[in-house]
Amino acid sequence: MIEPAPGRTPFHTRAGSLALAVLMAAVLAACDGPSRQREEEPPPTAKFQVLETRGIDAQDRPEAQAAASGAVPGVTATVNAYYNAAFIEKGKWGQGTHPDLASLFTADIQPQVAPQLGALALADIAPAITKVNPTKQEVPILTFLIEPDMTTPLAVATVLFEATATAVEKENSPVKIAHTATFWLVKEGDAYKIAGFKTHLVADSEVRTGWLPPPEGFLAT
Amino acid sequence: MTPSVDILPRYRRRIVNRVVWSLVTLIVVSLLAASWWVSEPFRAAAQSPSPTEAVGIHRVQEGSGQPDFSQPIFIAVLGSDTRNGPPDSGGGCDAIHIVAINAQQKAGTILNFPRDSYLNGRKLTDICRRSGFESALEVLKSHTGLPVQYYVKTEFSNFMAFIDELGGVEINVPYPMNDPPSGAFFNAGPVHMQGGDLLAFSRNRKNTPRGDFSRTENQGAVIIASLGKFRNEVGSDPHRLFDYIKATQRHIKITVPLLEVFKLAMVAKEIDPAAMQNVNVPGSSGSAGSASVVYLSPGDTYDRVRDDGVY
Repeated sequence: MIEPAPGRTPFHTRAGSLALAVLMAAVLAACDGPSRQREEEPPPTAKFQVLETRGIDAQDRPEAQAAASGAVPGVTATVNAYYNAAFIEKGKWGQGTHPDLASLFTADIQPQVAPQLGALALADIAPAITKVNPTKQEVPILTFLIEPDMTTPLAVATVLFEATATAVEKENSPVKIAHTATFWLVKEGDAYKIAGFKTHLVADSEVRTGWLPPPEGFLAT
Repeated sequence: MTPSVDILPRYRRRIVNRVVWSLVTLIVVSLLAASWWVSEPFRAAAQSPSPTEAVGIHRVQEGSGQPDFSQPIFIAVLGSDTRNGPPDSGGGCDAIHIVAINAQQKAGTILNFPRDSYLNGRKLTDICRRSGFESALEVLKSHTGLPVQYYVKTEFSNFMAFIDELGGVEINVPYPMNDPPSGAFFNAGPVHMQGGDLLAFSRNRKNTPRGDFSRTENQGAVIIASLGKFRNEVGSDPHRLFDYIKATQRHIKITVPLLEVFKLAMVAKEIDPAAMQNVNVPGSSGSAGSASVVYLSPGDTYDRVRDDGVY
């Protein structure tokens, strides 16, 4: 019969191996940690908050405000879909073509979307961006027109979106994105569609290495 | 007796081997991982332009879009001389205009018709009074040949309330007015008018250079000034748009469907008032029997706006 040396029991052997395995696993886990955490993070998605809702009713009925409040989710659904397609969800950027965007507009205004993608979405800078993390998603004021039957066929939304984006070229990161918009919306079926817009987009890397030092006389007045 | 002395060294060797190989594996894996961490920035840098070449991502861009009407829109604007009542009260037509809007050019024309314009053997104002505004509209469409799709209409009290609700309008009074019948008492120059004053200004025809022609021209100026106010206010506060629609729903009879109103409003907020021509339909005063009337001689006035709405 084979017996371990005194003080070296099979338990100790197994414990030693186990401890070693745990140590290795810990080391490997530490090495793999950041990417694993990235995998576990839920992908960013639009979650706009409406700060103020107004119901404009020609009859000034007190229940108009409730009707407006009840219509808020319909508009936020459209606004969320817009920002997911335009900025947040990389899988929807289509290399800057944003194929899902036009369907959020009314048919008569859809032809104006593609020529103005640069003000509506990431567009041609999308290939230079790997990820967009929203930092502000607000609808400061959402106004509905209340019809005599208390329906809400028309809405105006002012929208603030800010985000920090990661650029493919690390030197260009972070890219600060600020998009302000006014959307005029009409209800088509169950969904609100954008019937008019005014937008302003700033996408700005904090790095300006190439611009410094400024050319001679650049700051001269 | 089992020679345990021979077995123990072999056992220890196996343990030592395991430990050594485990440590070697651990060290190799750790070194690989460490080398990956250390080399990553260098590899990234190697793939990127040097810092002195990086210019980053910088974009500032504005955009706007509004409904695009492929054809010009023609809307008749009719004002009743009824003093008090609902917006669609009867009465005679004190104000008669056709507003043409070209959405693509963001421009348009206001055609002004004197109240006493004599068409089909009757004055337009009398056609409104005796046959109704729709009949007058049909006569107007037939006379001009313009495809008027809609009309808007109101009367005195609702007109004043409409203007008051929206906070008044600034009018550039073209000449001093001192007209007791209408209540128009103004110095020349810019005047901020509430509903009552604006109605008086719009009604004055006796203390003007050209009577009925001047009156209808001033009414056209009121429409253009109102457009400018709308543009300024909705431009700075887009939510104000619904205040205008609300005031319209309260005080104006309007045959334009709500969605079209909405779309037209979005177009209107883009139109510079300077791009709206205020055009009197040419004509001359005369008489028909005992009635003083205006004989229109439009020439090519209607043809000039028919295709694109722009004079």
